[in-house]
Amino acid sequence: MKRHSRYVMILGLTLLGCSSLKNGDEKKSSVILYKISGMPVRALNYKPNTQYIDDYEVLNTYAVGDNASVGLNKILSADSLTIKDIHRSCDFFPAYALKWVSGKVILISLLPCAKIQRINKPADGLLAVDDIKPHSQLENWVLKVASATK
Amino acid sequence: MKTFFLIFSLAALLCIKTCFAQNFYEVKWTGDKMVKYTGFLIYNSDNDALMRVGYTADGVYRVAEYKVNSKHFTSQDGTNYYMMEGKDARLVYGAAAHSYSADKFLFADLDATHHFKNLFTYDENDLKKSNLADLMKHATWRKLDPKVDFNQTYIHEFYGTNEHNYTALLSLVNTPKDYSTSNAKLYLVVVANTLDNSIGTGCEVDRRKLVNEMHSIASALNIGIEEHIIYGSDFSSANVLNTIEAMHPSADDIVLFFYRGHGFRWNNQKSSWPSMSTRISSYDPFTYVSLDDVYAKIIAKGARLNMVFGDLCNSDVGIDKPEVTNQGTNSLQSNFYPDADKLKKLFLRSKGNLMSVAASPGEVSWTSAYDGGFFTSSFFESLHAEIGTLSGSGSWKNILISTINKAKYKSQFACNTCSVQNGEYYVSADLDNQ
Repeated sequence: MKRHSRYVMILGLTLLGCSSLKNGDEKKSSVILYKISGMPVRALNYKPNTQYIDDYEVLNTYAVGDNASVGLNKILSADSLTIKDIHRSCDFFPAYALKWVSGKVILISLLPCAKIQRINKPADGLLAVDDIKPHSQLENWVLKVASATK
Repeated sequence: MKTFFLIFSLAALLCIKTCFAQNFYEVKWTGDKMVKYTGFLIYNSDNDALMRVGYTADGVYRVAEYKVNSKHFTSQDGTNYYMMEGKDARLVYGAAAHSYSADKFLFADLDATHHFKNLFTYDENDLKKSNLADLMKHATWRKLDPKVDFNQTYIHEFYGTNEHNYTALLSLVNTPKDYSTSNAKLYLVVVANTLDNSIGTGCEVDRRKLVNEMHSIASALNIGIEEHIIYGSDFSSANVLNTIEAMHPSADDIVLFFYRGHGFRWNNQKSSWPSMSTRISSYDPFTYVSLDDVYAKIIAKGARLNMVFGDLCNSDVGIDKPEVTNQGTNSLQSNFYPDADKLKKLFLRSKGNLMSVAASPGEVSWTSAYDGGFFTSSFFESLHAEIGTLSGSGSWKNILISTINKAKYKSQFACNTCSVQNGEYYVSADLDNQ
């Protein structure tokens, strides 16, 4: 009986979770925008009680709504986002990070040195940094989301 | 045919081509009424090329001439093309009553190795009569080797025997002139961020070009060269400063410092000159050396000719400068044809100091993964043009102005999405009057 009630409880929690997903909460929380510090620190130098995204200190967190999330996916899938094979000779100091529940992270720096770095898993080594076009839709998206949740 | 890809294939990938200045190309096509045209192109750079076209019409042999500007572009469907546009055509030889309309050339159809396979030509004036597809005429091209292809008969198809270029072009058939020896020594310092995960590939292209070119020049001038190439894992501010510190040029020597890497300026910076960012990994402390410091340290060494070049961004890094500071081919002879006197004037007779960078305050500089920095590739084009048999007078100031103009042109027309980069330069009074 005791064992039976435990199964019921697990089933109940599972159904509750499924119900949440149906309500779109998964979509809402599938990606989060972070304001981050420009330079990474190694884990052994992490400050206590401080959140980090791929070794970048989180300075602020911004909720991403359903519509913004859909818009973001369109922007990121567009070929026109990055400049192929051409780069600005400026250091990459990311100001924002996007993190998905899958673990994927995109680091973003804005003009005048607009670049992105896509990290699919934390263990990725030296990752290419791509330049994004001036005044890109991604830049507009980031600034819009960040300003909307100030 | 194969070597022409150096000029036109890499453009396919997005812009700047490998532009070994003052190359010669032959273009052939057949026009209306089966008139056969042969074009002779003297190519210095995208915005500096001259075409002579020889053809026989109505039984009269004629030669037309026009300037050629070139640019890469991508169509709406993402297809890459390379366009050469003739302008300001004039009939040099032939019936005076006739005129000539400058040709347009379109390189198309990239193959798997990013080389254009086809060349088409058309007359823009005919666009009023028909559509572009009907007007396109197939053309062929090949790179010319002066030692093999040039002779009096061939050059005379395009130039009269009394023209300077006739004599100059034929002079290229002979072996390079003999250069007298000098006691001067060239100190070459190349600092290149070749491991960077965005510009590293382009910096490596430039590093190799700089070393090869300067070795070729030193060899041509029969002078010694002491090279200090700081790249790969040796790329650091400490190595830059230590290298400069350890150099001891004599009063007749030449110092050439060339930086290829990331750059920046402080928010509150007064100087126009940017700083070199010398970290390799994003985890490394933010280290840098200002070009002002490099310039001051180098001219303090007392060499006859001191040159500092920086192909780097000059954009705000986003923070103020802290109170306490810590302190990235082919051989020359095979690609251009130096005039002995101009080369000697530049390297052996010039005295003074100069500095030039790729971007003005607030601007970024651009680099191609395949051709290197816009500024650096423009420097080579300008240097070659200035010491070419057919052009230039051997002036460093001209080289700097030309370098900046060519790099600006590339950022405007060779790259669809680049912001414009205006370089900066300074020459001391001795070089200003050259």
